[in-house]
Amino acid sequence: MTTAQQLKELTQQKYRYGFVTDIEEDKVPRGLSEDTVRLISAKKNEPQFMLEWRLKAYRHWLTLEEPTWANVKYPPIDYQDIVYYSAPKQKKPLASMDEVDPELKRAFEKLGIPLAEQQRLAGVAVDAVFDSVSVATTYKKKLGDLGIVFCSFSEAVREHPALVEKWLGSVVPYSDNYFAALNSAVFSDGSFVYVPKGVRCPMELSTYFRINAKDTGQFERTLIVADEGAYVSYLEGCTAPQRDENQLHAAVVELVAHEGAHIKYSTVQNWYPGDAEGKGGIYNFVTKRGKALARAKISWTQVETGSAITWKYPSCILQGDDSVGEFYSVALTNHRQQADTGTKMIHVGKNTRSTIISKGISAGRGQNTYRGLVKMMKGATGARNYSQCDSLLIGDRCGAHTFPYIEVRNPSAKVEHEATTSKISEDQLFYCKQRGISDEDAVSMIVNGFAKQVLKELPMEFAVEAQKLLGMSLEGSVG
Amino acid sequence: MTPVESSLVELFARDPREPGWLADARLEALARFRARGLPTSRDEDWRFTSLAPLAPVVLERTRPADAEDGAAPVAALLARAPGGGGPRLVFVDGRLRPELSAADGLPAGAVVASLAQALRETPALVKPHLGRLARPEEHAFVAANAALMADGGFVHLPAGATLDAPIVLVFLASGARPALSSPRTLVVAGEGARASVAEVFLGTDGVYLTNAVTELVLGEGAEVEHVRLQDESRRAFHVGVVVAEQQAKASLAAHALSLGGRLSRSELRTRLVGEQASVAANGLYMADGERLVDNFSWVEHAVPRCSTTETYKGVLDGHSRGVFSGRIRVMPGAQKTVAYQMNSNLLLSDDAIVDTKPQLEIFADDVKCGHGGTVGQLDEAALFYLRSRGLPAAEARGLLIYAFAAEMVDLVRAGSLRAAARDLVQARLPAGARLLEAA
Repeated sequence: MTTAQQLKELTQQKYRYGFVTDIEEDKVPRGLSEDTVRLISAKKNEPQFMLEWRLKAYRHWLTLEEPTWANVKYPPIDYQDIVYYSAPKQKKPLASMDEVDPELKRAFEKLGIPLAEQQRLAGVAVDAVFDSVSVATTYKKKLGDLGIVFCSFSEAVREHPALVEKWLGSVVPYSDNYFAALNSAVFSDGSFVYVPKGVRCPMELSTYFRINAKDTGQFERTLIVADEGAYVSYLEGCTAPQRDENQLHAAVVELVAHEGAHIKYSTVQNWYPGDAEGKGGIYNFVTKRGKALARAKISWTQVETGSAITWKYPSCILQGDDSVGEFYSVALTNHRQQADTGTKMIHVGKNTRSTIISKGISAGRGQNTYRGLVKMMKGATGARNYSQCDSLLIGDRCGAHTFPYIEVRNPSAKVEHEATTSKISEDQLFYCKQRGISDEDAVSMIVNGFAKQVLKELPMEFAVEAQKLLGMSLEGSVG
Repeated sequence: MTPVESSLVELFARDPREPGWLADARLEALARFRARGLPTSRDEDWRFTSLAPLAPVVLERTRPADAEDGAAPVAALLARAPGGGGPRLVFVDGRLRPELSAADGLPAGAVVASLAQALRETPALVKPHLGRLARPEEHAFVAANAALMADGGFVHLPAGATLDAPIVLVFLASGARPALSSPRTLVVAGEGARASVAEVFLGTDGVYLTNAVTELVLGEGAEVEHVRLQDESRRAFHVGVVVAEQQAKASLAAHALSLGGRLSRSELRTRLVGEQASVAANGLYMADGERLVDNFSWVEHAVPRCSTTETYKGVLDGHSRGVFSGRIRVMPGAQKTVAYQMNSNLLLSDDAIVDTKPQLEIFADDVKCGHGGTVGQLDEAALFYLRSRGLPAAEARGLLIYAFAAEMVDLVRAGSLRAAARDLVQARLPAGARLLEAA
């Protein structure tokens, strides 16, 4: 049957972004100790408060045990066999794109996201993180005129230490969980955004993360602060080169949305998933959380197609009255990929609202778990949540699991959760085919229709890439 | 070890007249319990249910002679239990009271007896099944029950046997002292057999722990309705674990009504091991005051073409806490599974708490599965409408709550059990007496 063939082709597509870029690197020795933490901090010329914070995090990490509750299986990680810091060696500040290492530029071109192209495409400023250090930041001046700070985290620590000290760890404290503590101790770089009061960021801010040096876990730290009434849309996309060894990726993202602010955070995650037999691939253990004050809105959109293991729960603490949290997710697992992902919506303030739309697609031997928490605290009078979690199964050896947690402490709060699990509908396929639509197009249509609710939340720039990643043509119906 | 743990261990004493295999099983279960101890909130299955209130309770062993003490409360309690004219066995503090029990008019080959009696008289019918489904190594309370069980119901239905009147097993707690009873029930339904079996737990006042375990063995095409009516004392602790296994085309309708107890937990675990087996798991829980009511269900689809329909409803008032955790697991190869799971909760006060966890775990692709969970409060507009028609506030609330809960009561097929369930539910409602009159 051609449908089956097409499904097979789709699920067995080779990872197209696998390559290694040869750039001279600056690494610290393998292993983790207080000395490693001090060395990383020293290499980055950090102020004292950063070093102390890292050390506190490291000491706390030592007291923690690696969590095992997630519905994923992997061999034990040797935390002493990881290189915790690596940076490309060229270190002079760059004035223009011409100074960017040609090798690096070619790498981005291969990924289909050439910087030149990005620069030309008005409205997108790119802060490219190549391994752990930002090497190029564009559109800085334009943003600077509006008072918006968009820079690498290291730069923020140097240039805006007061802002960093004030907000770092305010949403995800270093003691939050095992991987957040590890990240807090050894994070190398990431992005920092500050949008001042009442400013609407005129362009989508985006960063492309890539893991490059062999065996280096990448520990990014992103902090986005939107002051009262500000708006910012942030895009994060990642592709990683093909590797045989597992690479650990433990990032932390913190969002702070002040009164009436709106932060939209979109992710396309396509780290190397390992080969068809489950060899290699990235372990993506991420802590993402936003805090919304009164009338603020935080919106997470994610398309998760990569990584051998994904462990990720972008969350919203709806602290202020009338604040809004949204979570839109498409997670695709195939071959032997495992994903345990979902969200947490913590309703603290009155009349807070949240929407959860999660679409899981499992193929091959992939295991896809939705795990989500909706918590209505005592004071969340009139709060409202709607959750919908659908799973689509392609093939008889995959798995789809739905584990919602609903905890309600206020009688006026309304919570609804719905979930369905089914395979691609044969009726729908038949209907499409008898209208003269080819198998290939029919499957694409159905899968796209299935994911559409989420894909339409993506900014235009990402929608295209997301569609490609799902391996389907969307017939221009989504954007 | 907490007092309750050590008292469970101390309560242990083997009856020298027991057959060797049972004595060995008790010893093994006791060792399992010792090794495991009571679950804590770190156990995912007990995440929202803290056993802390149980921890300081020191339990005593109930002696057969004690049974004579509580004649008056026993009569009052028994009046609330369903009759129905079928076989009825009455246990007081875990021990059979033959003078209150009757098991007549059974079809040929059918056995309805106390477990202790069955172990003496028909051990060959009991031994192959007792402890096969409820395994001490998987559950602390099952281990404690296996070590300490004294008596309970035994139902054996040969192939094709049909009972029209329900079999009623009544477990009364006299509540005189903090005591432990460990009722153990075994139901074996042969090919195509049909019956309704009710287990009714009633108590007036007093602190005690009922730790009940029920095993349901459903042969091919058997149709069994199992109704659990739990209306224990408001200071009592109740843990009830029902473990079932269903062969091809066997259908189980399990109803769990949890109305009493300071802390109660009702578990249903079933495995669908033959094609086209089906289970309807229904639950209704109501709590107020400081009470906690926990519902746990676990359904495993091991083979293709089976179905599950699961509906649990909760009504929570005062400072009470309702917990629901349901898991449907579809094993690899169990294609054409149809499974739905729903948990709805009604919160009546500012301080009531609900924690719900409906879960689907699916390892096959050609399935139709869904689940849902809702939490809400009484509809103000509906309340206003009833008030505008002249209903007092309490009655209007009572009526709306009953409308929510009645669906679960109406699902009970056996008429006498349904009536008893309705009375117990209405007695819990605001202005319930008035509603009873009207009904």
